[in-house]
Amino acid sequence: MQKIIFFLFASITFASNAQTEHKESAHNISFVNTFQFTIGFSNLIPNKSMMGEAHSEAFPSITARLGVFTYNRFTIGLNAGFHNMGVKNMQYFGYFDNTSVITLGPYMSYYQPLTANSLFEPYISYDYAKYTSKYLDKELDFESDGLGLGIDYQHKIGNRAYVTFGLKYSFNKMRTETHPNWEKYMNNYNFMSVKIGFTFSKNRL
Amino acid sequence: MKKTLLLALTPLFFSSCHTDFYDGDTRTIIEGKVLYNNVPLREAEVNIYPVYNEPKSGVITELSPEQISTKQSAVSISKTKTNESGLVSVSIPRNERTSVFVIKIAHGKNSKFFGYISNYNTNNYYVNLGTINY
Repeated sequence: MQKIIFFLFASITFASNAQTEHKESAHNISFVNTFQFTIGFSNLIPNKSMMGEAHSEAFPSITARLGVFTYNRFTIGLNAGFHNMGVKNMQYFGYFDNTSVITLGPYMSYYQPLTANSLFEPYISYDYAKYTSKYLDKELDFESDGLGLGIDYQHKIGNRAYVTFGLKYSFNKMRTETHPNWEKYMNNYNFMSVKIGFTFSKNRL
Repeated sequence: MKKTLLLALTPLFFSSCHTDFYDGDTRTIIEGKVLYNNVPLREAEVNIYPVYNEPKSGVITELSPEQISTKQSAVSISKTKTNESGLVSVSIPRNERTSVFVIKIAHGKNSKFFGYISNYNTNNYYVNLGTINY
């Protein structure tokens, strides 16, 4: 986890020093000028937890985000996602076949030009997640609160279009009460996700 | 139009009646040891079923199938196996209709029910089954 946070900060620092400011983007306020749609893998290298050990990697993981307010290079918006995971270990999770996950929450990002046609965009997000597991005549619903730390690499392919590669690490706290000795295993659920897709944005590069 | 809508929704109504709904807002840990002729019973299949009995105490005893009050298509909420030491360790989420469960232990072609897991023997989301003699 520390390595991931260090990597994010290192990337931001590197990107900040790599490029000079673009004058045309200074003091620029706009609304709803960024949209991103991606597909990828989720629940990668999860921590030792009930959720992580119970589920296999999720594909496809579909995410979308909308930048609502942009000031200079900072953007605040909403991000949403959906993925479905097979249940591979039922011991502590329960007798279910698969779990679908819907996430929703705000995010804040800062983009930094890297070259004339590419940029980095690290971001932080709050991810509320709603899980539904099913098998035979059973349904299990549960929720979590998450903190996401991610970074996107975007390469310009059109006037407003960027092909996007992203990496995100999510720290989730399940909304579950259990015995104190089992609290950590049951409630702390962390994983990585990777994505590829497109970002559409005005006035970036 | 109303009749058509009613006819269309009727199967949905009945199918939802058969569904067991669980909520992950709580998880109860269940642990115990299974012995067979005083030897740990390995690799025995353990299933936990929600039931609608009203136990009077928290003592875990063997139950006959006739004693168990369950719905027609009971589906286990937890399925696992005992380990090399005969230990069983699982967690179950909260069932929205009942807080009473039974354990089914299958060894070879035979199986036995034990119960009841209920509020009587649940302490701070933990149930110690103790030693079950199969």
